[in-house]
Amino acid sequence: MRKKTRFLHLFARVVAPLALASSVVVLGGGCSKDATFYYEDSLSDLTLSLSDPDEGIHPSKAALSDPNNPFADANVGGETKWQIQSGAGAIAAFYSWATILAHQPGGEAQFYVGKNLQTAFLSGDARVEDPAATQAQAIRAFQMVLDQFPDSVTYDATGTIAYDLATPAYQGIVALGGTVQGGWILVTKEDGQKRAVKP
Amino acid sequence: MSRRPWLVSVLLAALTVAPAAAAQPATPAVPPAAPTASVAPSGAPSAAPAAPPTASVSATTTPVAPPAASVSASAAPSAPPAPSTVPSTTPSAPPAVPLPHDAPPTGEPAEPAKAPASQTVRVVRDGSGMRLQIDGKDTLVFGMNWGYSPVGTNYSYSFWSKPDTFIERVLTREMGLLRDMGVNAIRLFSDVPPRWITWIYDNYGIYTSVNHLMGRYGFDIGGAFVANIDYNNPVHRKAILADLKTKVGRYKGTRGLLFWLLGNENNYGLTWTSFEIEAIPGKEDAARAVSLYTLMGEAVQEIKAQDKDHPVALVNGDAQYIELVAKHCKGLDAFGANVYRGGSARDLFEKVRTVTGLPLLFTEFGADAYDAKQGREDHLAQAEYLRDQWEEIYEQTSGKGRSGNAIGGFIFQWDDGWWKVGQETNLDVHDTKGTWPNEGYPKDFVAGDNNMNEEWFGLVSKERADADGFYEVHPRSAYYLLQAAFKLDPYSPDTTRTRIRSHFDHLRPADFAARYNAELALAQTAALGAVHISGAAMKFETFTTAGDARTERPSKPVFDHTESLFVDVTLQPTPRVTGRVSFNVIGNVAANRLDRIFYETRGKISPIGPPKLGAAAIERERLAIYQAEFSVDQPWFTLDGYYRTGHYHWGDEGDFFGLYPEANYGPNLDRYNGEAPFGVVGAGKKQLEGLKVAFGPQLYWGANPAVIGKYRREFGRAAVTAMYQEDIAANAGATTSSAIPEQQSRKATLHVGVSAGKLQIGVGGIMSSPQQVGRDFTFARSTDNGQGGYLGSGVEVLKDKVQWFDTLGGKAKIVYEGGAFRFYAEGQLRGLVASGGPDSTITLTRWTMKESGRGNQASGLAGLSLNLGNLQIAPNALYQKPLIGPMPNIADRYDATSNAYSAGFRARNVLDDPFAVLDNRETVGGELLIVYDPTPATWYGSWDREMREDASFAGSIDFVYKHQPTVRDANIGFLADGTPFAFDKSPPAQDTWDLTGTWVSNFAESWRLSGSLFAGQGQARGDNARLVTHYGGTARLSWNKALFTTSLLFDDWGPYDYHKDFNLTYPLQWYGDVSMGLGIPVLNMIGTRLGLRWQVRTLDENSEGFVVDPANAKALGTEYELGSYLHMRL
Repeated sequence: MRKKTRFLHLFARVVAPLALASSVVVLGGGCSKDATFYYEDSLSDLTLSLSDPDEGIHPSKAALSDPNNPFADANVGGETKWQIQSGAGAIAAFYSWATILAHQPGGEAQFYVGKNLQTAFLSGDARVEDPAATQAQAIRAFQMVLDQFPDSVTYDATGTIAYDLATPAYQGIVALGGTVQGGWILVTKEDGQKRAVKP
Repeated sequence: MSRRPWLVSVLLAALTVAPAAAAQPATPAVPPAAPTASVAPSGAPSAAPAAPPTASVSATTTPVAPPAASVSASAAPSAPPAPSTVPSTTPSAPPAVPLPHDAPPTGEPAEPAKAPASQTVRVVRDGSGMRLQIDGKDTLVFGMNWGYSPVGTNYSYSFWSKPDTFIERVLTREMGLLRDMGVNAIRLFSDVPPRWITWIYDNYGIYTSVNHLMGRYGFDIGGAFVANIDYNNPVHRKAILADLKTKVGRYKGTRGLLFWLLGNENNYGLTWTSFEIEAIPGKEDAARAVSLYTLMGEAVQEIKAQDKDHPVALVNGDAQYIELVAKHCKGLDAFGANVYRGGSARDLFEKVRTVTGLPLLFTEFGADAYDAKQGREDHLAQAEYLRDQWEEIYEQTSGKGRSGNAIGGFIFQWDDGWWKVGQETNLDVHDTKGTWPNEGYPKDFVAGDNNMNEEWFGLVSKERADADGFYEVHPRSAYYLLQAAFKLDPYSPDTTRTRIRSHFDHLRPADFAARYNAELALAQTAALGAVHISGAAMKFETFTTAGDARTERPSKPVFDHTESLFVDVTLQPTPRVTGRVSFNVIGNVAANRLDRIFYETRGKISPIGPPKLGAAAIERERLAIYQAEFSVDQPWFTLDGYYRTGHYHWGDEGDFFGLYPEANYGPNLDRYNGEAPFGVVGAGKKQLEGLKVAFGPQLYWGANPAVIGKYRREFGRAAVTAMYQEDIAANAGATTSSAIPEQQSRKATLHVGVSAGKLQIGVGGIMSSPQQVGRDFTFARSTDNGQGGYLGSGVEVLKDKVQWFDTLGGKAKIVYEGGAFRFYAEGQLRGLVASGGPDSTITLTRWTMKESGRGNQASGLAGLSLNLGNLQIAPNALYQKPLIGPMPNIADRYDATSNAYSAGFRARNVLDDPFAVLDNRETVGGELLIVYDPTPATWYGSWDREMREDASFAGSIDFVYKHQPTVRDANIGFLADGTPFAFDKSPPAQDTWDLTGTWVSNFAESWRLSGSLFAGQGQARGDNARLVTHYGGTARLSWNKALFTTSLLFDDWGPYDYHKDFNLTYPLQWYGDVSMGLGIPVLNMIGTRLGLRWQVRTLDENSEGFVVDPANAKALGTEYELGSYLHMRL
């Protein structure tokens, strides 16, 4: 009998209020009053400041937590990425591709990360906070294309003609004053085209 | 036998190990070493002390001198030994004589009051010789060097420090055997608690001789252990004598005490620095021997000063230094010696009598049971030696016309000591290495070789111990022979030498061998059973497949075959420990099957694209562990391990939130080679009752490596259960979409259940996934008019973070079971990440609709069950709604004019987001289940009703309708290379329904027809929007040992998870199988069967492997498989 009484006390005073309180708390839950609305972001005033030494380099996902990255929460669309690449400037395009790379690793995204870093560095844009670091990161991005995605390609606007990315990655490293690693060499094909190969 | 280094070791170890000595301030230097020797009674177990001594004269004060005119003690002959007439290795239970007190088994500082008084033991002598009398009764010592040490242990094993219950269990068996044999005394060292001496005597009538080792194997001198005692050193002598004095004070007056024994072949250790068993040393140590024997003489006097009721004897190594004994050991009552002279001690009796004037007590003697020459056990030789030795003892007793000074002996020894050779190595190996030579045992003596096998001196052989340390013994032939031998009363007036010879001549070892041989054979059979092949199954299958031009299969039939072998190995090292491992070996694996994923294709599975015919052979995992399990049952807990064997849930014992769900999987587990469930679960017993702990890399399919603990306690009609789960790491081994590991989490739940008559009420709370607190998530909210909003999507998109209260949830449930009318209702509210697991329990009946167990929902369920005769009508209703709805897909947008970007969004998923709306999607559901079952004793809801249902007809109809007004978030699929990925979105909002009918019919004797029919509408698990309307049925017809099964499915998904993931359906799927076997077919079991099977399916644009005919895009493809199989099972 004492046990029963003790239990009822436990039930009445502890468990039931706990369950009720949990329910009340959860009822008020779901979303907090601190939720913020999403609006469009201007891409005009972006600065390039790497939040992590590996940002934009596969397999880093640092871009997704970079407060400077306007695409961190976004699902950048297949068409939109090209629109950004062609019209939003190198800094915005870098963040766009770094975000895509973090979500879906691939040579195309890695290449355009390098290309946009290269463009930003060479432009002398004052919004690039650390040009030397940007230069080095561009070289790393290109080298990563050669190391991890050597067979990757990108397509023309029609989506039918493929271009290899190893060659422009090789050339990008050279253009940035870097040294290509991994035994790659640049050869000239019969048609006069340059081609990066790894013997 | 000579040199007993193990005794040394016992003491050495005890000095450092046993706690008893430390608990006894009065005996700081003596460790509670493991017991070894002892003796047994000749009388009945509870034999009362004999009548008081009559006319005995000389006793403990008898001078060491030739026998004079001592007066005979008792005229009446002592009662003959009364061993059990039926040899038994299962001794009868002892009389219920309790322990004298409740003190701990060892180390107790105070011994109990010793009432009634101990016996008076004296040596008496007269003209016929010398005899030992106990309370005036002539007694020949039928003694045994007894000890207990399980295989795998050595000298450090401390028997007397074990719990009382264990000691009593061992003694009950061992002393019973000794008593039944006729043993009346055992020899033990001075670590045995006195109360056990009394217990043994009171229960079995067996006396104990207490043996102080006198520094034989070293001694604690002034707090430091000295390995080699210098008997000339006053400090050493003083310390030993002081300890002896304490010990005598401890044991004197103990009921059941027989003899004081001093030393253990100390004469062999005068110069040794090693305790290893070696050949007997020479006599070059006579000078040191004087010191030894003067110490022994002082020891005798020390004992006599305190205890005049018990005789004192040395434990000398044979008769070495016997003259010094006679000279320096005044007051000795008997010359005790360890004697290994073979079948006869020859002149030893006479020598002892003439030199010392004392009776001779063999403190050790015997023979090993191993033939070193032949390399095999020889228990017959052992029996023969012991027979001869005892015959000689009988003949040398008082009144037989020979020396007349034999008073008995202690056989060496009770059971085999597996640790003797090596002492600290190969403890679990019954070593057959001979360690010293002895020509006295000519049966296996070869000059130059050792023929004494230290580990085979046991009168009983023994098995390995169980988990408690208890082992079985098997008396060898000598046991039974001596049992018969001891029936001859040595002191009966008609026991003459002639009768003794006649008696012993009739004891032929071979006549006593049968029982031991039989026991040995049984033990060996049992040992074989400890590890054995418990099952085997073989599958030989052939497949012929083909398809038309609208399939990827060649039109020309392709033949292939599969061979698969299963072998079950069962291990049972002890009765309460069992294990089973099932191995699978594959031969060829068919690559042409229509259903191309099955267990034998393990290793390299491509979930999406079918293997290309003619492609390079896939390297397979030929040998695999198919299943494994073990079970350990201990007094305080059980421990069960499982690997792919399944386990039940804890839902009926307080797991209100499904943290430990049921893990019995169907064929999918084999198809995808899932390694689940994989773990161990421990359940407490006794005071730990209610405690369960599970730990493992995958406690259920798709689980992260985790530990789950549960404690449940009942308070009258109420029970409180607390659970805790900690995911230790992430599971990276997902293989299919039906078992997707979610993110690492931590969970705690509390449940209170009350049973009040017909009502059962449960209330609980959960805290889950605090790791998600602070993580961002996005959600959408409709605009007021459903237009405009973010990028014109009609919703506003917001960003938020998971809060602490999102980890909380509550649930309540009430069940009323009022006979024909029953109902239940439950409701729950769970924060965004307050996920538990699926509800594995069955409430009232086997409804389909249940709560999902996922967080982020408010939901309620209610149902009732009405029994009308054999009919059960059971409606059920569900309402659930997520607190945060699914995230719609919104494409992003870049405005080049303003250079502004509006982010796009996708549906959430369980891999990337803190939570997702899946089976907790908004639903209003209704279900009506109708069951007709005229034989409710075989519940129709059983999973194996097709085997169990015994009604002539039973069936059910279940209709489920779900109104799903919104979409859900995204599920997980697998790419062709096995990589998991999240679908972009879900199918659109869609109501679905399912109608299922099942039946089992035993319509004629030996006939059974069961099956199901279904129709319904369903959605893909992935993102395909096509609503599938499917229907079909299955049937299973058995007649005796014949079986026909078939299924016919229309517009249904294929058999694999990915078919539903990618919404791959077939217009028609027809499966058929007809087989005959040796037994009645059992569900989901490989039996011995021979059968044929077939499979036909048509393909359209929604089917896997369909090739569009440009000329007729709507033409269906057709592919088929014909197969045969032979399954065999032992």
